[in-house]
Amino acid sequence: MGMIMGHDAVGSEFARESNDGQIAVRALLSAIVDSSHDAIVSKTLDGIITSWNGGAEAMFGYRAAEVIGKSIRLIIPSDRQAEEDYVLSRIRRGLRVDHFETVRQRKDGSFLDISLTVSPVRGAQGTIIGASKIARDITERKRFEREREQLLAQEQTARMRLNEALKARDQFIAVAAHELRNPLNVLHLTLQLLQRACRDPQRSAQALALAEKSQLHFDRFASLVDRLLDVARARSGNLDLYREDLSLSGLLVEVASRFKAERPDILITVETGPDIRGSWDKLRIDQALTNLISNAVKYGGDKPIAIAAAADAGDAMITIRDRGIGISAPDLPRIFELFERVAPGSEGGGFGIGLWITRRIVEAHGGTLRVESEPGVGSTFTVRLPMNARSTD
Amino acid sequence: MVSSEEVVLLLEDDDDARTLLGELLESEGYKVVSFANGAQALKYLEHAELPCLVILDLRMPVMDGVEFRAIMLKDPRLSRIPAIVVTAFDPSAAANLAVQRVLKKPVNVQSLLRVVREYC
Repeated sequence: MGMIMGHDAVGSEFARESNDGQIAVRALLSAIVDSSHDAIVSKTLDGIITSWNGGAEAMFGYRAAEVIGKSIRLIIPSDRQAEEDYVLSRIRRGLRVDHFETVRQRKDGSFLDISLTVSPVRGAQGTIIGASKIARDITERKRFEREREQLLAQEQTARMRLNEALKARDQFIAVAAHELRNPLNVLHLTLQLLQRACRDPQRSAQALALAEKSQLHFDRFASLVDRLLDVARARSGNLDLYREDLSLSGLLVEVASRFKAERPDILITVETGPDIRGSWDKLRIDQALTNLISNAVKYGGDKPIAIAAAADAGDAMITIRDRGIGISAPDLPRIFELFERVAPGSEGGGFGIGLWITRRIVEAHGGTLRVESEPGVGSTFTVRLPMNARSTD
Repeated sequence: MVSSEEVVLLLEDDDDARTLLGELLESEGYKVVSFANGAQALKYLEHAELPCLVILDLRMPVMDGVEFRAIMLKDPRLSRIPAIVVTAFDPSAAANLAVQRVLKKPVNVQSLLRVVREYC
């Protein structure tokens, strides 16, 4: 400037510049407010909207002209109206509401998550004349949070399942150890008795009987080991099938006769139509039928067991029906699980793998295994086996 | 060979093991009464003469060895009967059963007979 002016001149110049500065600052502030992506809104102490920036238009879908003069409650969902009472009560007392996370409603009715900061606006005399509110859209952040929570829940579920599986495995190891220990114990006993008998020439007949018994116990032990190996094979999906032309009727009669010989006290009937033939793995189907009939014998309460087979549209249908203790509805889905033994204290013992491996065998043949049961009435297992290979083996 | 009228009570759920142990003890001159679970044995003990020894398997269906022994110990008449445990499990499972001996499966016939001779 460099010029010396009179006092008044300086004063009026200053006033003009100051006035210009205020206008410039207002314009600047207005530009900042307008260009903000956050919604910046002012309202009276009654909640009537007095300003509405571009951010608010974009966020809530209302143009400024549509909402100025209307209540802010327009964008508050019906179940959150009380929030406005709370906010206004704080503002009237000169208090802010900071980063309050809530939900608001757009013009199209959809909801969005926002973080809200509301501050009192004071007039020239310092009295509170309204409120300014800044809302930030946190829908994305909330979505991430929800996704993270979901992932966390999924992780927890997976961890829980893993723990259950580990527990089942440990139980299985305990059961397997017990099941293997028993025949081993018996074999050990038999051999010791055999030694004693061998020392006495008068007991050669007993010695021979004990030697034969040893063989039986050895076979029992070997078959338990085979069953354990089966689990390993079937779990890794390597249940190899050696298909051959097989008479199902013949096999059923054969398997049933083994049980009849073992348990002559139980009436076991086999009803098959004309010879049902198919391309199946004889040893595996024998194993599956043996497991199912053994199950019926074990849980059948010594009552009659009815086995039937019939051909049905390219499939063989086999039903094994007992009249035993049955299985309760909550237990039904579990019986095909590995290592599950639903019936308590089953005297036959076992690994709890019989029905599991049976289902694997049937499914490897492209078939299905179903069960219907009623506690106290009995159980019916139904095997459906395609006669010709159309499986995935 | 002994000729005792006293009974050895044998509890073992495995049919073969029970039969073999029974035959062994009988061949040594003992009288053997055997059961597959604790409940059957308790019923027997209600009216029978007390045995000289109980040989007890721990893991059995219906009523296992631990429960059976606990009931025995609560009964003044039955608590006097000596018992030995024959188990495939950790011998510590028999820690609170006040038994005279714990033998591990597979059981050694000589050790078993030595213990039986002590009490019968």
